[in-house]
Amino acid sequence: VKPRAWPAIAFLLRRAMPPRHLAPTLGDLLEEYDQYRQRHGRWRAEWWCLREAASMWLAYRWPVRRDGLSSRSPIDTLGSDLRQTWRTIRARPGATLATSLVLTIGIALVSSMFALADPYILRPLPYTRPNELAVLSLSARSTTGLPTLEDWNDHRELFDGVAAGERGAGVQVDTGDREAAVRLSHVSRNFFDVLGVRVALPAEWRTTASTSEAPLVLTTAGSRALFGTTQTIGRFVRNAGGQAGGFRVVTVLPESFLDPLSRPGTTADGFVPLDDTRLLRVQVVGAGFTSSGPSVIARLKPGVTPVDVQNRLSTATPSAAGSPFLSDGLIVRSVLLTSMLTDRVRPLAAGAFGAGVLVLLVCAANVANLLLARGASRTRELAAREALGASRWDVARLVLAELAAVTALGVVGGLAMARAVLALVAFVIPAQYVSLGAPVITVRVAGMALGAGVVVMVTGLVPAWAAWRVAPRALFGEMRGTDTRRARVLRFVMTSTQTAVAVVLVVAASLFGRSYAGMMLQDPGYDGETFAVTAIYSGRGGAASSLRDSIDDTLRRVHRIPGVSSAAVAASPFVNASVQMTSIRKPLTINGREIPGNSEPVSNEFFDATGARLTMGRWPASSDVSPSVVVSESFARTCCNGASPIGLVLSTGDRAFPIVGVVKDVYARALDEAPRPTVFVPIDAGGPIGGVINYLVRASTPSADLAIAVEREIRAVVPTATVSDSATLRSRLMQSVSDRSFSTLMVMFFAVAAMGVTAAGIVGVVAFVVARRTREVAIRIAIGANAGSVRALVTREALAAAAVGAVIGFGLSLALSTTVRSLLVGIAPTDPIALGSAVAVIVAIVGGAAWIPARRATRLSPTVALRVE
Amino acid sequence: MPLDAPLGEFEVVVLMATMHLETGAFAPAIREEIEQRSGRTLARGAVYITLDRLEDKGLLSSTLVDASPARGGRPKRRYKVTAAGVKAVKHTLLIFARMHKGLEPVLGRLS
Repeated sequence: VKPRAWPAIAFLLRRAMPPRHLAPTLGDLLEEYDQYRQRHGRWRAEWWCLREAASMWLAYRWPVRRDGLSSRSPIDTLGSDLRQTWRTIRARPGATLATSLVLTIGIALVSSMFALADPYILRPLPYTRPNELAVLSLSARSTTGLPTLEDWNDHRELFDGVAAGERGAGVQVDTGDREAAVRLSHVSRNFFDVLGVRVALPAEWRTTASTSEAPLVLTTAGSRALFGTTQTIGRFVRNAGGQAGGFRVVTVLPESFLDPLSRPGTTADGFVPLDDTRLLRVQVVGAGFTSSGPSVIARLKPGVTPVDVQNRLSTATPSAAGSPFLSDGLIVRSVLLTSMLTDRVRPLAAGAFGAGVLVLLVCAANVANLLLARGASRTRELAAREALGASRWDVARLVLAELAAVTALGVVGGLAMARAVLALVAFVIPAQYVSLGAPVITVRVAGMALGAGVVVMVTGLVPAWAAWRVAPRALFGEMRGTDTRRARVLRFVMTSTQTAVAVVLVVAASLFGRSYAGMMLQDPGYDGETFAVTAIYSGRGGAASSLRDSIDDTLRRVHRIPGVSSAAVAASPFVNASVQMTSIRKPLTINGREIPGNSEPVSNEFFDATGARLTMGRWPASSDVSPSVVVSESFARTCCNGASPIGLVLSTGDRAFPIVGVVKDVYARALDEAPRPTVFVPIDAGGPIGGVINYLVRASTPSADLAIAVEREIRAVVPTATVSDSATLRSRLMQSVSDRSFSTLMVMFFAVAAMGVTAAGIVGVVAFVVARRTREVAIRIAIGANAGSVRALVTREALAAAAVGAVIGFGLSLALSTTVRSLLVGIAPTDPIALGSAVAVIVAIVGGAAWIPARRATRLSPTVALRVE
Repeated sequence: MPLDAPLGEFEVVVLMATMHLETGAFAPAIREEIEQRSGRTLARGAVYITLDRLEDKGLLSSTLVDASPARGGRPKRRYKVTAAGVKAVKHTLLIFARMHKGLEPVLGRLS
């Protein structure tokens, strides 16, 4: 039996020992290892063997010489290097701290951004072979021939399994101790098998259970919320409020389980079986079709793509490209689950990580630069050491030891700062960024920080190498030190590189900032103080006419709440991205010509409640002979090429409405989504409406009490309605762009960090030039040079490098502009105001950074300076 | 062995341990013998390199014996003190004895 490290041990001893002694020595070691292992166990024997081998290696590699002098072992050398480094650091703690601080910032940024991006870029989803999972969405214009779960599980050529699940509504339950609200999703019984979640499911989950006691699978969070522990298998929760029946906990999912049905920020507390095997439910409402159904998740056979599934299972095609209107039949859309969960976040996460890497590179260049400047002041010392017999390796090692100390400080400080950054980020991070797990410092992140440290070490080798090259010459003749041509070129390259990187980030920050400011300042087309409450009525609750009656009843009740001046409804998820609604509507036509656009069913007081702004015509009036409509400005532009649409008749399905007014465009989805051409159709005119209704209330004092009052009235009329997202329209708008707010904040944060670090670098270069040329500057001042020429002399090098870097940076920014185009709203990537302000910021910072140390040079007293030199 | 090149203390100890062990004088056994008699722990490297040095000086000779599977088929090296080795030990001990003479009031009798 050989120790694990045997190949390495044999290799090292082969290099250190004379060949004739090698075989018996290795034999002894192996034999004793075996005995030791039997007495003390494997791991202690491994460790013993390593120590014995090290003892052999040291003895043969660095034998004690007869002359009494010993050649030093690496341990001795390391000790003396560390002592020397400590002395150097203690002599000039400021310089070491400054260098470590720059490095700390770089490592902190890159590690925290890596922690943020890791779940979306590198870490696989917590399912078995996640790349085989696809999400299928279905729509149909037919009530017959709709697929069931069994049908699709029979498609063995496409799927290894198909599961369905419906996102749950809140359920009030009684645990025996207290009542609690839980969110339960309904899932098909093969749901966890299809996902490949390793969890033991008992027989009662597989078979149809009694109606009084449904099996319940709890998430870890759900289990803790209900019972305060995860050991809850077998516990029973009753339906609250006197309803019969309840749920028996059959298993608890692992902590790592990720609910694929959940929306960002909300996740189910538990899962109960879904016994309705229909994958699509289609209702004929009036002249239209509304379809609803569970989410369908399929495990594709190896080699089958989502496109294959679409092509095989769809029986109808969209009538025109991009149009939602179907011919009769079934449309299947399929997308990989991984794409669905990560695609929206991935570009921003990758961008944040990329920016972190850029800042790290700036920091690395800066650390190298600061060390180079520092090497200059140590040239004499290093040269003296070499003259006294130190080898070049000894000299370079001194520089390396200092670099290692700085890097170690930087890595430890960087990880500590990254923790603080992540704690701050937790306050502003949008929900979709944490849907795959909150960013924390994991082993991978710590590894990343170490890797970043190694990058900096490698960059720092450059000045070590420069010190190696110049040391012997420096003792004789002029003290040229690190001011050789090669060192100047290096310094130039480093300064211009970091300026280029900082320019790219400042330009990005400027573009993002301007795009964001523009978006915030635009008029959404309504009053932000209007209060909105989303109610979701179950699709199985009844016919559309009874839904209309319920809405009318609820509106009457809301009107009676004290302080409410107007109340209306919009039958759509009005500025509420957390609610998805797909409904199939009839095309809009004017004079037989189809006009692309949305119809938004709204109640009478909608314009009053939202404060929508009329630009032409009048509001619909109750005195109108037939129900009339108002259209948005963009609809007016689309339909009539600039002419007034007032008086035209708009048809949808079998209904026709005269257009009586035009309102400003309304941002009905999100602040960063251009308003679509919209027609505001009276809700009571008989068109199809979906189950998602937004109540819009204008009150003298919008408050939390108002939300509670409106929610109470909605539930009083339809007890099964789910009420959510009560907020003012302004906060809904802010919510709709929370990811943009976050990314803009991040980019600005990076730009400030990069610019700060670059400024430190420029200060370093100019200070170095001033320090090295003090004698020359003093002589020039003594013979009458003015301040301007002195400033020009010492800042020339830094400013030239910064100028070259700025040009390269702008070139890079323009080259990258196509990448950021999709992230900007309302401005082009070449926006002159954004680019101009970036230039102004860069010139101010670079100029300021060069000016501060240059001022010191102009104030030199010639007598003092010459004496110092 | 001339007086101006005496053996080091550790070299004498290694030679004497080899003599004690007679036919069982393998490197691990020599190390163990010294550890037991001196009551101190030795680094493996120190023992092996000293054995090599003594062999180079001609004070020890070695032969390769018994390759076994437990050793991965590698032989053992058995050491034997040469006549020169015996002489060198005696010589060094003689120096010690002469130096000790007259110091009994200070050092007492040895052993």
